Parts: sequence; structure tokens; C-alpha cells
Amino acid sequence: MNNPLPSASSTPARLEPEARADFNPAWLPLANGSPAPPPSADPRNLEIVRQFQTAYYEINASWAALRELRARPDSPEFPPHERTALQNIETALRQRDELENQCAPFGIIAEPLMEQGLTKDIRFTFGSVRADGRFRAQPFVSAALLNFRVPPKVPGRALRPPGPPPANATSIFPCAE
Amino acid sequence: MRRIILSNFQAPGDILMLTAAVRDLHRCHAGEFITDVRTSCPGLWENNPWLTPLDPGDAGVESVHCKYPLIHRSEQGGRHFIHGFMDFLNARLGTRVMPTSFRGDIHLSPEEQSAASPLARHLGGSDLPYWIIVAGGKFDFTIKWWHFRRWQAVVDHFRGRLLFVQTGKAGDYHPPLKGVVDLRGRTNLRDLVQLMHHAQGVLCPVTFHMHLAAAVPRASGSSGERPCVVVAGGRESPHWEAYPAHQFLHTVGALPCCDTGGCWRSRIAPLGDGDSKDGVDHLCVEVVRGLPRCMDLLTPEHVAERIDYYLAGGRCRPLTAEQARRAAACVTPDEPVAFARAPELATRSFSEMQLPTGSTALNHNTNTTNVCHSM
Repeated sequence: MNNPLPSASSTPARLEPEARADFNPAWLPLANGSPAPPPSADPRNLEIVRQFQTAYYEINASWAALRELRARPDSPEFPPHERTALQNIETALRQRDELENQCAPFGIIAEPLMEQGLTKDIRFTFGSVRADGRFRAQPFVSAALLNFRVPPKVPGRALRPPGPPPANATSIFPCAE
Repeated sequence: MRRIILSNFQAPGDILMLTAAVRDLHRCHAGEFITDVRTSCPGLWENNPWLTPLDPGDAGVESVHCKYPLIHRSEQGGRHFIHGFMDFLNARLGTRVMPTSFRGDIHLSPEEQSAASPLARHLGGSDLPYWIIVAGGKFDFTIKWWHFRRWQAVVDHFRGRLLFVQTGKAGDYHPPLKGVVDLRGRTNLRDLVQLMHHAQGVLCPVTFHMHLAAAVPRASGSSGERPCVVVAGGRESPHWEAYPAHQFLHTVGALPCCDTGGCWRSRIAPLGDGDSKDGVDHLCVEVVRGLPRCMDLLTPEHVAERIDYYLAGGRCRPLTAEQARRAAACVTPDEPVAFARAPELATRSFSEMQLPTGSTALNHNTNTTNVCHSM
């Protein structure tokens, strides 16, 4: 693979949100509406989900810090602190952008759903799996029960559909056995 | 008179080419055929005057599953996709069908022609001139994709002058753009035909929309062909895909991997979805910045220049000031307001700093969250 999926080792090291002393669960966005990662037959996607949740946690935390700071604009420390807070937002956005760029060739979209400036949920699309979590190229298998009248004077055992039977089938016509 | 049912269950772009073949079968052999179709896109055949309901069980009705093997000789033959099904039918039916019009054959009912555009319906009755933009595609041929930040750069370049409506099928790869009307996943095939009917122009990769841009008649008041800028790269030869009135940006002949024609490869990188297109023979041989090199060579500036051709030539008009104001109110936001203002506020903070003599202040005049043109 000449262009591997971004992994934790290929992105800037960041502490897991839950491992931080100041962890605020309100800043950790959902993934496709759920606290748990969306179902996926491709385990690599779980790591991608985690990376985007962490990236948006950073943005949310930076934004919340700025908002808190702006609630006290009369502080003498306000101008330098505001500048630092804005730079933190820029840094967090750039890290998110970098992750998006790395994921784009693989058809991964992480679309933030915002509420009052905070990312509350991320809507994911993956290149390898469909929305239901199954591989895109995985064939659908369906079964049907067909009832039909056996022609007169034809023993049921003599009935066989054309072609070879399925590999692990014990009987094609259970009713005829 | 021969009665035939033509079938094909490929993608919409393929079916659109079949509409041209049916039209020209009748035009080139008037009165010799009665035709019906079975395809994956019934919406493309609505109001089609060349169809008569046929029952495959009736005596004398022929069923023909249509293909276009001509594509395998496309680099040698110098023919367009529109010839594909015609060539097949000529061999299969013994006909001499030729294109009579360089486009697919889409028909709108009188009601559809007089109805307001889907955009106007989406905006609650307020209509605006617009371009359709497609910033992605299906997962089978990711090699056709251009980076979403490049599409975004083009949208940003024309802010206040053109309104873009982003479309795309739900479940396919269509990353959201900012500053557009977002109709991704909200149009069925017939909605898309109507949206195209009213569209001033189209901006897209090599995709169904490109064929549709040529096939759908323009709304009353607009003459000639619909402007369309196609970001094509080097996968397919221009003679196979391009329409005469389109601006088709390709790199065939410019790179070793497409020096004599399209590379016809499928993907930028393996998706891991179990599809055989992940095989090494189907992958791009030179990926640069997450793009096939042929697509990386095409910049937002190149694309904007081609759109500017149409504006300068008078084939489409920029928004008026009043239209631009209304358009700004209905497009998707950049980032949340606080983020969008962050660079501006940072500029203020920087300007308040006492810079040492000879140093250069960072340029924060642009929204850095959107400036990623190097991608």
C-alpha cells in the first residue's frame, strides 16, 4: 500500500481526551450519533473515528477556553491570553485539516455537526464500508423459500436445479429427501 | 418492423449514452424499429418519445443486453463514448447508426419545463442563477477525484460572483463544501435533471453530471450549450469523454503514465473494501499529495481560468449585487462564526504587538482555515 491510512503514529501525538486531568465529556463529540464508534467491518476505521473525536475535542476545548476568557475582557491579562487562545484554535483546526487531508484519498469524510460553536457529533463516511458497516464489495446474500408442485410421476429425488450445488449444501430440496 | 428491448444496468452515465443510441437508432432507421428499455435508471427515460412498452414474452420481441466494447479500442479508434452503444448495436442488429446530436437524449415534460427550479423550491421560492458543483464521486473510481480543498478554493474564488449548488448521491464520496447550497443526497435522478435544466453551468470531474450537462436542454431564455468545466486529469482520453462546448482539463500526453492515452486505472489508493479495483494493476502509479499526479497538476487557478472564459465570453453571467447578497444568505457557513473570525482577531492581536525593526508581520488577512491551496 503506497498511501496508508493515517494512524496514531502518523499524526501528532495527542493525549486521549479521557486521560486528561481536565477532561470534559461535553466536549467529546459523538460518532454518527452514538458515543460508541459506528459499526465497521474494517477495524482501521475505529482508529480513524478516535482520531477525529480527539481532534474535535481539541477544537471544542480551545473554543471553550476562548469563550471563558472573553467573559472577562477587563482583565489586564486579556490581550495576550486571547491571542494565545486564538492561536490554540488555529493549531487545533490545522491538525484537523491535516487529518482530513490524509483521509481524503481513502474516501473518509468526517462531517462535524455543530451546536452553539461546539462540535457535538461527527457524521462519518468510510471508503471501505457502507453506512451499515459492511464492506462495500461484500455481496448481499439472500434466501427464498419457493413452493411448487412436483410434476406427476416425477420422484422428488430426481429434481435438481442446473449447475453444481452450493459448496456446503447438504440438500437442495430438503422437502424432497 | 423489429421489436427490441434494450437492457443495461450500469451507472447513470452509461445509461445516458444509451439514450443517445436509442434516439439515433430511430433517426437513422426511421420506421424500422419499435424499442423499449430495461435499465438501472428509469428516471432518465421519462417522456422519451422513442419508447413503446414491450413484453419480452411476446413472440417476435428481441431482448438485447447492450454493452460498449468500443471502449477497449478507444485509444486507437479516436471515437467518443457516444459511439459506444451505437457501435455495439450496429454489430448486433446490422444497422448503420451514427450520432445525429452530440449529447444524450433527455426529455422534460411541459410541467417540468415550466416548474420552478429545485433550488427555488429549496429556498422557498426565491430563485437565483447557479452552477452545479460535484466535488467527489463513486468509490469504484477514486482516481477521478480531485481534492476537496481544491474544489473549495474554486468556490472561494468566485464568491459573490457565482453561486454553486453542491450535489451528489447519498452514500457516495461527496465531502461538504463551504459557501455552497448543499443539496447532497437530496435529489433523485429526476430532480437532478430539473436542477440541470435551470443550471447556468457545471463544475465536475469525469462523471454522470458531465454527460448530463450536455444532454439536458437549457431553460428558456438560455441559448446554446451549457457551460461545463471538467477536471479530468489523465485517466481517460479527451476524445472519448469531452464534449465540444465543455472546458475539459486533461493531462493526457503530459505524463509518462498517460503519454499516449488515458491510463484507465481505478483508484488512488486501496480502500480495503474487498473490491478487485484495489489490485496493484488498478492503482495510480504516481500519487502526489494524496492525488494522482495528473490531478495534482491541475490547480484551482487552472479551473477558475476556464470558468472565467465563460464569464468573459458572455456564455454565463455573474451574480448581480442583489443576487450575491441573497446567495450569501443561503449558502453553507465557513466555520462557526468564532472560528472564522479567529484569524481576524489574531491579526488585531498581532498588530498590537511591537514588532522589531525589519521583521515581517504574518499575513492573517485571509481565513487560514480555508487556505490550503497546496493540497
